[in-house]
Amino acid sequence: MSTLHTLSASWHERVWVFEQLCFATSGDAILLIEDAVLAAHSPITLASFLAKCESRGVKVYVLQEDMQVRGVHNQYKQLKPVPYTGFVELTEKHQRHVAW
Amino acid sequence: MTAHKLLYLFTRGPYSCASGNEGLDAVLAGSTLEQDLSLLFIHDGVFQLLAGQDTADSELKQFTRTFRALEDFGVQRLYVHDQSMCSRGLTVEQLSVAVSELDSAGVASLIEQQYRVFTF
Amino acid sequence: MVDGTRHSIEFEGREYPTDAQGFLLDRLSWSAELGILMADLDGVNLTDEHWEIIHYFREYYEDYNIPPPMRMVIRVFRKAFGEENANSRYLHSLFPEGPTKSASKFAGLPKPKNCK
Repeated sequence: MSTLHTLSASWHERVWVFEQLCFATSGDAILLIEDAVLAAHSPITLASFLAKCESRGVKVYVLQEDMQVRGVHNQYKQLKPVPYTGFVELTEKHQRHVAW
Repeated sequence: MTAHKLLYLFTRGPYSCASGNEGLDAVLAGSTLEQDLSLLFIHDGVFQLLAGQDTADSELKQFTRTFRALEDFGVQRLYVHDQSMCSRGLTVEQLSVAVSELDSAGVASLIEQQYRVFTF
Repeated sequence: MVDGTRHSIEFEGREYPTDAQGFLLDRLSWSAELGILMADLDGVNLTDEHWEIIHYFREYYEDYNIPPPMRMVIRVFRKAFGEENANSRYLHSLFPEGPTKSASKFAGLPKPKNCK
């Protein structure tokens, strides 16, 4: 029984959720959408967040379309871009969804 | 109908936006459906429960009083995130209702038990 | 109001604004006499049993900003009047539109959120 966490606010606005890794546990997924994708543009902002997620066994994705409209370029290899169809697949794969 | 476990997350302080009030409405709606409800107050959401709120001199309605009535509506599981409390200098004695404190691992496991989670 | 019509109850030379269904807009302007009139307008003659519930609604709303749930109303009613009549069906017979809606109205409280 795993959870998909979506994070929609910018890192600077909702740093507490990033710091708590969305309270995700092993097998969960985190998807960055809307303003949360902005942090992907900076090569340092997400570094420690992604490293901690990786060691906890939490996969992190970023919504491609939301990066594209904002002109954001993903700087992280651990951050996997997915299109809307990937978003749908993630919701199907996980039993519940928490919108942070 | 089997009861589903539903979790309502309160993440913001009261009065500056409607989210706390909307969350309460959602909880009360859930309570009429006889579901298994839990509330978790996290981040600034813990301020929803702070005792001593005084709206007498304002135009605002003190909607947060209703949190204290939830037990009458069969809602008994109220949790606060200990780190959110601690980093704001709050203790459970300062709150207007009885709550249980959860650490971050406790929050994660609470989420894992749920059928649905709603964020406010 | 959607249709722009203003609603009110006239009582002893004063206008008491209400919503379209007759709920007082300002619960602080309520008095027991006004409650009697409001009930009368709905065809209800208030008895001690009604008053027990109306007062409980006012107190509960004052404390919690919400009308009490039915099981609490039944509990309070049972305490005051004994087991015999203390059930949901009897309470519904006292109030034409159900205790929650009608008792809130006669008590001068706003229309409960879950009522039509």
